[in-house]
Amino acid sequence: MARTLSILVLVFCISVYCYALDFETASGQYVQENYIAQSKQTLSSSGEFTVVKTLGIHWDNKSPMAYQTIMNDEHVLQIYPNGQKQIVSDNSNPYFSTVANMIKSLFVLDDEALSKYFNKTTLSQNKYKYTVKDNNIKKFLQSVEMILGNSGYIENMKIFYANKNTTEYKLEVKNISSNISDKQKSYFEQ
Amino acid sequence: MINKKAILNNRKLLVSIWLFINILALVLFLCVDKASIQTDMISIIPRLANSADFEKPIRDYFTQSSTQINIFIESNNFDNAYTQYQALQEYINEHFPSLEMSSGYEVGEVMSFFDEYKYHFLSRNIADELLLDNARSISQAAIMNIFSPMSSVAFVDIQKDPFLLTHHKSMEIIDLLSMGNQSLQMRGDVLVSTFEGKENIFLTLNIDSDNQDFFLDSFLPFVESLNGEDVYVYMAGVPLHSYYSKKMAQRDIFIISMLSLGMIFVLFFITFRSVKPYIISVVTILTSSLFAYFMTSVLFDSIHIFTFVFGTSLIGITIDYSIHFLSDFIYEKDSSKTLKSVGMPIVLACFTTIISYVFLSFSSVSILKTLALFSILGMFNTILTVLIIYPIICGHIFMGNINNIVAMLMTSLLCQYSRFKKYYKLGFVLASLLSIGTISILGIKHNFTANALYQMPQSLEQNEIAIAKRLGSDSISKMIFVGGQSVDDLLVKEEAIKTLLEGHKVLSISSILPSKQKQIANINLVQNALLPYLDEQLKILGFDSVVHDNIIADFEKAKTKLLDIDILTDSFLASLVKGRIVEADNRYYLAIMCSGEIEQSVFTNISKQYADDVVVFNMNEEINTSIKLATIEAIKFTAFAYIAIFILIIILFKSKSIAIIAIQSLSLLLTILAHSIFRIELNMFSVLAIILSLGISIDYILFFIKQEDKKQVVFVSILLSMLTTILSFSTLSFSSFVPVRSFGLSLLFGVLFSFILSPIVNVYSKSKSLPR
Repeated sequence: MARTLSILVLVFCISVYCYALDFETASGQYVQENYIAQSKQTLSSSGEFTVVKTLGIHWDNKSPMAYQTIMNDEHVLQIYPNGQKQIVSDNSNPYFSTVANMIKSLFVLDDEALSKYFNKTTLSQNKYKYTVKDNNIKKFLQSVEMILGNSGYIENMKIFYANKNTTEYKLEVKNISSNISDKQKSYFEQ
Repeated sequence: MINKKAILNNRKLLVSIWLFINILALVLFLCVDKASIQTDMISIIPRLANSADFEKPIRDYFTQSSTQINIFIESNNFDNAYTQYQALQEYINEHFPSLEMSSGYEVGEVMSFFDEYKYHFLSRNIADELLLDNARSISQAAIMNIFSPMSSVAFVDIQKDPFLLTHHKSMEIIDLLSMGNQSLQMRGDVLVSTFEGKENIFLTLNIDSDNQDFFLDSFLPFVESLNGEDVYVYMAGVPLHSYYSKKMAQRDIFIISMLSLGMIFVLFFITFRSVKPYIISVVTILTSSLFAYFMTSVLFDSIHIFTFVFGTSLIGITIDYSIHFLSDFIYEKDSSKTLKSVGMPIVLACFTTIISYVFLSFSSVSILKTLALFSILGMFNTILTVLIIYPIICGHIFMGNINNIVAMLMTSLLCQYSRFKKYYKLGFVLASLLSIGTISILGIKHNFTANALYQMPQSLEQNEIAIAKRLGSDSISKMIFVGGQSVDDLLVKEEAIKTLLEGHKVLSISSILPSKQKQIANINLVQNALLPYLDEQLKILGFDSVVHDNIIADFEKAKTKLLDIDILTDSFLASLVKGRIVEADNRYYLAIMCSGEIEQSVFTNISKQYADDVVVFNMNEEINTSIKLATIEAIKFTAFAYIAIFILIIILFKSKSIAIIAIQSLSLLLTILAHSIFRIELNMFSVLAIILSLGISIDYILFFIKQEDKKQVVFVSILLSMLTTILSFSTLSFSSFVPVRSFGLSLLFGVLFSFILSPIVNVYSKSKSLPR
């Protein structure tokens, strides 16, 4: 009886957890740390992020320079401090659009896309390792370790590159919602 | 006694000459470098109309750059397509390891190449910003990139390249390599396009033209085996057209030759009731064809396979001389008498045909020049064999008798012509008027475009369409062909021309390999406009002075090492540049490909500025114009050929020349009438065939006139000649190639009408009447 109850509780918890993942938007603050293996230096940046599952990622960098990065289905757009916009990668460039789609799938936790690009292994509770499937891309980007927080969204994500460099994202989620605000929508209409 | 001895000595001398000529041809063929057999499609195009000065390099360029096969492996399921892709990859690696196969590109290789030459190869955006003294913007963009979620720290060593010059150039070049194609995406290690809900893996093969046949012979059946319920492989590219054309040409040559020889056998057997005349004639054809092949192989560097397809008509032409000799000999039973009787007409007939071929060789289609020489050599060898060897053979072998039924039939047919004796002049006028009237009412269909030269097989066409749809890339609207003294001179010119094409979609070599002048300019630009910001950039990134010193040392080293086309050999760029630069007459050439709408004034300006070094053209338009001009040229040659032969006829036959000219003119009119009635399109090759038709068909009249005293025998030999010629040309008209088909069909009509009309020449004769 106790065993049946524990199974039921476990099933309930998993359901709640899955439900929690079914978000539309997540926003908060981030710290990004690029580790350069050769010089053992870390380049840090920080700002605010907004992830909209159906639209993409908005990266509002505050330090060391104020600028915005928007990744959607079509391109990666950057907005300079003076308001000048520049598309840094679009679908016409198959290689970089694939890498952009991979990064985006990680942030929006798109299971279908993730399974297309990565092999997933569970390291511990809420900690997962995504290994890149594509041999060509593996020559640069090898794997990703992701820790999900209590909110069900990413708390920490570390990307391991073939050149031993890493990029770590420390995310502090302020808001998770199943709705998109007009402000959030406007990020992706640029 | 002395006479007989003299004749014998003469005959020995002639046989020795015959043997010497044939052995010489064989020895030359065996010892001298032989011509290669060409199968490319560009050889059937006449001389280029507007780009005559660039003729050779343009042709070389198309031959060199036409080695790529594009392949799409399509399936509803990506994994199924990928499994077949792997099978194909394994097959290539195992059987053809040296073959260049690529699906996508090795990004690592691209990156590491540009890392080494990052100061030489500035991307367009970086160079523009530096020229505007806007290095701060480059610096900002690099920092924004490094700290973005799409950080380049994965790809670029930012300690060596803090401005991300490598990243920008790699992006630019990868964009260029994907042909700006938005439908292609990298998935796994392959490029994939989704088309109508199906997954398509894209790959390319670069086939060396020398090993094309060997490779495709085994590769095509293998590809066929990859096709299954859920997988289909599409393939397109110039090598496939050349391959299938060659296969069809070989099939055509075999079928045409076998059919002609088979039907000629039946005709010979019915007429002579013996196989000996046939065997002798066929052996003559074989030796003549071999002689013609040996000599053309020695005289030309290359022979196009179409020459041999056209050349099968030699069977129908050369066998005529054998027929005339053998028919007369069977009638006379005396080789000396026969030689006296048919010797002159054979030489004359051969001469008129050679005149036609000479005019044909003036055509701007290169393969017709080889064909003319091939045929003239074949005919030359045939008349030597007929006039020297036949009298000896016929003196020793019984050749059979003319079939009585055939002889009676001929007599009866000839009698029919005598009925027209009173009315033939009126008949000529009426027939001419009627022909002209019908032609003017129905009109003549003509096609002076590239379609008249090559119609691709349906399966190839379907594959070409399927590939084009899946690639979805823009078609090339104009090509700017540039010439220069050296590769670098060429690149400098190309870079200057590109500035005149600002804002347009252009594919050029200098985007991949800049000139040395440009490389030096780029290095100077970095030194003067970008490096002053290095300290500030490194400070933002948090790097120390060691990183700074390393970058400066790296830059100083780069300044001394400029990139040359020879250094490219081992890099991924080599395959992109290979075949795109051609060398001809100690000059170098390349092509700038322009797509989309570009105003004509832009090209006019380029042509004006680089008058002697540039030609702008659209290949399709150029081919169509060339064909049109070549056809007009062919019509002129036809007129000249007719005039030349008619002058010869007037000199030789004086009183009968009017009748001969009238018969030939009416025959020409009827040939055009037949095209009009049967709605057969006239094209460049049918016009050229009309020249040859005169040279061949006038032979019948010559034999009628020269052998007036034995009209039945002459008529038998002429009928047999006509039938063999017609058989030969009618089999040509079933060829898979449009030019060969048109050529055969026009000759068929010309020869047939000439034959029907030729006995009329005897009606004109007042000295002897027709047999009753």
